[in-house]
Amino acid sequence: MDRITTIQVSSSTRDRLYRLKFRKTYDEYLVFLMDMYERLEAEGGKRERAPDKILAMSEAMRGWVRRNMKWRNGRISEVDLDGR
Amino acid sequence: MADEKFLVLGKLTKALKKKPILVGGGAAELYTAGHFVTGDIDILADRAELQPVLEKMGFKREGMYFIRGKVFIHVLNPYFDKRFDDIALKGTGLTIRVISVEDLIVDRLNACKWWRHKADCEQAAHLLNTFRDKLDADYLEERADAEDVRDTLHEILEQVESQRNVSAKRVKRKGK
Repeated sequence: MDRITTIQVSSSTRDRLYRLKFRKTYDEYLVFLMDMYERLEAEGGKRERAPDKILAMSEAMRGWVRRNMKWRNGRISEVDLDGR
Repeated sequence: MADEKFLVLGKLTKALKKKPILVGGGAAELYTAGHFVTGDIDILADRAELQPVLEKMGFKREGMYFIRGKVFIHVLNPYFDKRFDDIALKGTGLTIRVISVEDLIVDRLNACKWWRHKADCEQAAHLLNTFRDKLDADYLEERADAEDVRDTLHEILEQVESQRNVSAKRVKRKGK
């Protein structure tokens, strides 16, 4: 991309960002999205059930929340990010 | 050492009169202790007030991003009519303003329902289960209604509940 507008970023910055976000370059991410779209279409748009691993992960997180988050009046007031 | 992007946000919050609000993937990363990592952070802020402070901190603007090393900040319009929490980052003396867990769940439900984005369905399930005793259920229902995602909310809640029952039965069986 040679010329960019004020809302665009250069292709190298875009790739850096996509690597941080998705561990893929922008082009690789587009291919991934197209594959996902085709798969969803083939499945008739059915969403998968929340898998066991999500549940196991969030159960573990509940312990982390108890240990590392403070609450005041029902709202989160402090977080210890070093506990991650 | 707390994540650099949250420290940057804490410093911005300290420096700015109109406090920026962390939304999107950055908020999900904070609430899930980094289980769902994001590359950039989306903040709602007054760009005119924010830009000189970020530039002083060494950020360069490129398009809609402010970038310094691995920290990408995406600045969005400051209009926000939802709930937020002011959360202190322990041991840093800094506080950040973050979209409430309930509103973040509704945001993920929207992406799950309308975009059919599996990662967002998973994040919604994760947040619903993690914070199940802490959520303001009335507010969550009200917001889900307003955004037309109540059906997805209940669908995911049922999935989480049934998975929990399956896991509980397995634990019971092992205990026998």
